[in-house]
Amino acid sequence: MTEPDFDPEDDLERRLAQVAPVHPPRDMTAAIMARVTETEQGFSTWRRWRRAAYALRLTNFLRRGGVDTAQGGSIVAKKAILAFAGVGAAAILVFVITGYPPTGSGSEGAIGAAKRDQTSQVGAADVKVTDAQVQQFIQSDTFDKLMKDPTTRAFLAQVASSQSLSQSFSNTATATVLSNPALGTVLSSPAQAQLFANLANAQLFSNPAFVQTFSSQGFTQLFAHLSYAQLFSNTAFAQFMSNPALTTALSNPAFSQALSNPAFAQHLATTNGAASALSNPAFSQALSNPALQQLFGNSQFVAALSNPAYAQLFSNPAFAQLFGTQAFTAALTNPSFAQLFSNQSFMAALTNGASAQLFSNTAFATLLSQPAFATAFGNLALSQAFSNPAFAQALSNPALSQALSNQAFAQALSQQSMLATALSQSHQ
Amino acid sequence: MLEPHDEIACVARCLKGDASAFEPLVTQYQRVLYTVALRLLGNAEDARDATQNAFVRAYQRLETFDPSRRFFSWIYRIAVNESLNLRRAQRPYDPLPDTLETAGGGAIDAVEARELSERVQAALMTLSTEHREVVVMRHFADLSYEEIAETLEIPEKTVKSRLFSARQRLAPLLATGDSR
Repeated sequence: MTEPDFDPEDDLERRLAQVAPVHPPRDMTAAIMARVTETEQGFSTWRRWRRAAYALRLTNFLRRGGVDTAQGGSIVAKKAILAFAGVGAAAILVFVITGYPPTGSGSEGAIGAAKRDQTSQVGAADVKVTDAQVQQFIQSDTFDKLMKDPTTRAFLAQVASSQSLSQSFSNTATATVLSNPALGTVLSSPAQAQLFANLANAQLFSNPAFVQTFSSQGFTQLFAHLSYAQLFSNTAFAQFMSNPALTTALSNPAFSQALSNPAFAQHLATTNGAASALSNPAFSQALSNPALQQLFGNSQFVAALSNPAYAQLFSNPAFAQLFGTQAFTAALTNPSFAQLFSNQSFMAALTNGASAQLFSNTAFATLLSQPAFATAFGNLALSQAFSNPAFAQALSNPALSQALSNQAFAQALSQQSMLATALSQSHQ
Repeated sequence: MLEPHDEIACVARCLKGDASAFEPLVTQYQRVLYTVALRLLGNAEDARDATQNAFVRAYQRLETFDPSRRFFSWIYRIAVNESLNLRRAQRPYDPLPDTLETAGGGAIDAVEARELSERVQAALMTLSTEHREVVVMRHFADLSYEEIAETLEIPEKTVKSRLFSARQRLAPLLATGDSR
C-alpha cells in the first residue's frame, strides 16, 4: 500500500513513523454489530424490499463483471410474476410492498406512518405472514424474478410513491384477495400485470368503494374463473375498470353490490361482448347517473344482466346510447319496468335485431320514460305481446318509429287503456 | 483481506437482510477508520463514537452504495463526515488518554510513546481539516497517493501538494529536541 517516497532520514518522517499505530477498542466489532443487527430489525418490510431490490442490482453488477445495466431498467422478464401461485405468496408481496403488518420501528417516513395507521384494521382472520416468511421470500428466486420485471417494478414504485395506494394495499380485504392463488395465475401474464399497473395509475385502488368491490366474494370468484384472464386482457374491460365514472358509480352501494354479484361477475367473464358493452362511452357516462346506479340494486335487473341476451343487447350501440339518455335511465328506476328485465319474452324482444334499432329513436326513449308507459310494460298482456314476433316486427317498423316521434301519439300510447287495446289487437 | 467483488457480495447479502455479512467489512476497515477518526478528533471516546456511527450509518445507507466505486472510499467519507459532525458538536481537543490501545512500544518506552503521540496529535490539530486528512491517511492509515486521491475524490497531484504543505507546517512543530 505504502510507497517509500520520503527520505527515511527526514526528521518529520521519522517522528511520524515512531508514533505507534492505534487499534480500536477490542469490543468495537461486537458493539458495531449489535447496533447493525438492531438497525436491520428496525427496518420496515417496505424498506427491506427496497434494499433487497438494490441487492439484486449489485448481484447483476457482479455477474456482468462490473457493468451496471440494471439502472437503465433493460432487464426484461417474459413473465411478470412467475411461480407466484404459492400459498400466501401474493399476500407476502402485499406486505413486502406496504410493510404491513408493521415490523420493527417503522420510522421510515410517510409509508411507515401510513402503515402504522393500518394497524387497527388487522383482524384475527387476516392473512398471517411472519417476518421469517418475508425474509425467505425476499431471498427467493421468485423475488429476484419479480424485481427484474420492469412492469412489476413500475407498479411497486407506483404503490410505494402514493400514500393512498400504500394504504389501499394495506387493506386487509385487498390483501386477502391478492392472496387468492387464482390471482397468482392471472398475474403470471404480462398483460395482466400491465393492467394492474394501469389500475394503479388510475388510483382505483385508493378508492375505498373499488377496494370493497374488488375484495368482494363476487370479484374473488371472477378472479378464480378461467376466463378472467381473458377478460382482464380485454382492452375494453381495462378501459371500463379505469373509467372515472366507474369509480363514482362504485361509491353507490347498490352498484358495488351488483358488480360483485357472482352471476354478474361470471357473466362478465364468460360472455363475449359484455366487457365491450360496459366500456361503451355512453354506458360509462350513464353509470354516473344515480338512477342507473340505483337500478343495480334491483336483484331482478342484476339477474337479467347475467342473461346472455343482455350482453348482446349492450353490444348494440343504439341501446348503449339509450342508456345514456336521462329519460331512459329515469324510466329504469320504475319498479315495473325493472321487473320486465326478468321477463324472458321482453329480453328476447329487446335483443331482436329489429327492435334494437327502435331504441335509437329518441321519441321511443321518451316514451319509455313515461311512468304510465313503464307501468304498462308491467302488464302481463304486454309481456305476452313481446313474445309475439309480429309485435317485435312492428316495433322495428320505420313507420312506427316515425309515429312514435310524434309526441301526441307517444303520449296517447302511454295511456294504459289504449296500449292494452293496441296490444290485444296485435296479439291476435 | 476482502477483494472489491467480495465487498460487493457482502453488501448485497446485507441488503437482503443478512446483517452478519457486515462483520467482515467492519473487521476490514474499523482500524483504519478508527485511526482516522482519532487523529481528526484527537479524542478516543469521540473516535469510538464516530467510528461506530459511521458503520451504522453506512449500513443504513447501503442501498446508496455505488458498486463502481470502492467500498472503503464510500465508508471513509461517511466516517469523516461523522467525525466532523462530532467535532462541531462536542468537546475540544483533549490529550489522548493513557488507556489508548496501541500496538506496542517498539524501541521507545510507553511514556515516551505517549508523549510523542500527544505531541503529534497536538501538531495535527493545528492543521486545517484538508491538510490533516491527507497526513492521517498517508501516515496513519497507510494509504497510497492513488488511494487517497480516490477516497477524497481529488487529483493525485493535489494529494501530494496538500501533503507537502501539511509537512511544511508540521516539521517545525515536531522537530527533534524542539518545542515541548
